[in-house]
Amino acid sequence: MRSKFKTEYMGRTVVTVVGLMIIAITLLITVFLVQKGAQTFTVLKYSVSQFFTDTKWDPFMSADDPKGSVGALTFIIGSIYVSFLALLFATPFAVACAIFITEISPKYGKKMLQPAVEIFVGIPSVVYGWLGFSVLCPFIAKIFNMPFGGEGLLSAAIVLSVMIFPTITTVAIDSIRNVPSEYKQASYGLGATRLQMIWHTSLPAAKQGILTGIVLGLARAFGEALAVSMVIGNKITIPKNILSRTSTLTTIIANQMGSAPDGTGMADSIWSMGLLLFVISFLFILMIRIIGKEREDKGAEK
Amino acid sequence: MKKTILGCLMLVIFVSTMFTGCGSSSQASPTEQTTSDSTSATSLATDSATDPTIADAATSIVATTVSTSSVSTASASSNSGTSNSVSKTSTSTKSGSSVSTSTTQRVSDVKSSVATGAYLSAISLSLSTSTSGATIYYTTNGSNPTTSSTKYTGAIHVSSTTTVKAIAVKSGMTTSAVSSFSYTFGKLSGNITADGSTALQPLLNLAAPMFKGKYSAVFSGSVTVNGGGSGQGLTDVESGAVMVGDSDVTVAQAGKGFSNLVDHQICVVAVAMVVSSDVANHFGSNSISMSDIKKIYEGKITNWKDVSGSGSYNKPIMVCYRKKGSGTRTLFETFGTGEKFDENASYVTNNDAFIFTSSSADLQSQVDNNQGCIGYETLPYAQNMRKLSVNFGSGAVACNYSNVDNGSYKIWGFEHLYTKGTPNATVKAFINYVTSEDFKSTIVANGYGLSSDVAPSVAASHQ
Repeated sequence: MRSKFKTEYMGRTVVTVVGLMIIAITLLITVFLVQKGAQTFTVLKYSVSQFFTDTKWDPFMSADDPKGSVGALTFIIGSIYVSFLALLFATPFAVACAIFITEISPKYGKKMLQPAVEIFVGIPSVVYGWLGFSVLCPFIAKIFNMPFGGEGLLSAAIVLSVMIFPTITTVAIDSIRNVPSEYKQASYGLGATRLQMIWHTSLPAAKQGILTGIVLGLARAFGEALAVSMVIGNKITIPKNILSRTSTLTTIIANQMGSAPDGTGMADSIWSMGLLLFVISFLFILMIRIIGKEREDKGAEK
Repeated sequence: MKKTILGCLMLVIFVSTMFTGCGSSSQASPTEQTTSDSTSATSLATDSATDPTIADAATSIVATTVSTSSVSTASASSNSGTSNSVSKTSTSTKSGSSVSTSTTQRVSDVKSSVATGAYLSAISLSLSTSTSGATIYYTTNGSNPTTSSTKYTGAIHVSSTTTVKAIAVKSGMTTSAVSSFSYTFGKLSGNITADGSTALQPLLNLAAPMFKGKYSAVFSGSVTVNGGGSGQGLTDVESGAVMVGDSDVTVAQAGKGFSNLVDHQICVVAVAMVVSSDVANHFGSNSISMSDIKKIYEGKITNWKDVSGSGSYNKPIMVCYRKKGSGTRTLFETFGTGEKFDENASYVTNNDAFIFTSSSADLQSQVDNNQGCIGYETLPYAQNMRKLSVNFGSGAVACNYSNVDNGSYKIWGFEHLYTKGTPNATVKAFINYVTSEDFKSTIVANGYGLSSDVAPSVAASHQ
């Protein structure tokens, strides 16, 4: 009896409790973020439309200050620009790399290239940021003849693209590998060259998986604060061109949190931006779910 | 195969982090011991040997002192220090040390024969000043002494936790700054945690091991000092997350929500105008006027050739600013340009020459590594940077603490340690140590100034 308790019930209880705890923690974080993030609008009475459409971000930081405004449009646009630009740079590389590893040179790819890509994931973001700041930025300043240093959108996007490229590659590799070999053999059997097979058979069949990877990469790009903040210039300006200094939702939180006394517009608007980031990442997860579901459905049809 | 390689790699990384972790923790061991009390007592003894005058009143007081301290087990050296101090006249110490008082018409600060620290048994201390003929007044209740406070006539006996504050007065001279000596008895329990101002952090990081050394007899806890910014320090001490909040600004300046905080001023910090070396090399006069600085931060001057004194250096100006709420920026805006810098203004957003810097260190690297750059930096960080003197309207004034003290250099502020309500004995001992006479040399050596040196009229008008 005792042994049965040990072997069966105890393990089950522990696992159940841990599982429930994770659900509870997620819910608590959600509730807390929503409550804190909404204060900007419920307690301090800033308007929601101002938050999303105004570019003037100047909330009060002490009781003596005028109320100011909490326009976060600059940061939202900054986040979108920098992460989609990073995606633009990273995706071709990542997909090409995945194709090389799976289709062109599977043996060498699996032995050498894949571990190399995986090591990329493990490098801390501060190292990427520091490399970007001390190597990439001066280089960009030199190329584009920028007198005041090379920090800006382009530097941030390049640094981010290096950071998200392994994420996309890893997921893409898995999904290309999972394409049934009958498809490929059928393609070859119909007289396709290797490139034709990859382009017309492997990639379309692995499309959903690659898309999942891209969304995951996008989510990481959106959420990255430290490395971006080190190379983006942190100016509160909507970027005019690809070299402009700007800020994102994450960098403004990272930079301002130290000097945001509780209860001020500054602190609460930072909470609101945290909530916005949370909602965006939730949307990304939803997107991945939908893509995954489509894949399952398609698989079932076939 | 792949997994083995990765596993090995991770193991190597793990082991190396462990080793570096050990290395950094061992650095924090305390170094100083509480031996300075006996040495100062002996030096006093030799001093007084040359001064045979004896005041009657002093003798009687010291007689009681000696008898009580023989009850407690005071060390032999401090006893002899006490009895020797009998032979001193109460009000004056002579033996003019080499420090001359002729340069400033101010009485030298009061010194104590026993260093601030923790003691296991009762002590007797004597106060002295190197200005001859000066009278010393002191308090033991923590309030600032005035001429109506107790007049020092002979050794002071201390057997419970006490802060002795003293001034030296002589007619025809400026009264000395308040000297503070703090003596702690009994065990100090718990740890000390502090965070906040990054401008103050280097100093507190130095204070922590020194405090632990001095108080090793009664304090075995840890002292943790973190950064985060003044706002965070105030928020954290208010919420109880830390015991001490470090801040460059007062609670009144920081605004709402901080009702229970008690202020402890520990030093002053000046903000210097720093420039890239190429700019400094072109500045023949080495001075820039405040009105030009103001125009630079208003975007009205964008090239160094338009700045008077720059030797017509034709170079676009790169303007560095700190984040909103930075203590350095607040001081610069309040006491420098006198107006709030607006990063939303179009002359900032449309001009690539305006550079945001996220910290003191960030600003320093921008100014050092670029050309044509100007910024504002607290003196501890700016010690090795190229600084410009500032003309506030009546001639160039270099950024140093003697100019702060006499009121000619304007951009500076007090550094504060905030506690929630009255601090506990441990925190109080730490704050007493940081504000004590014994820590002053460390404050000065690291680019901070002594708040006690600021002329009272200057301090009063510095709002």
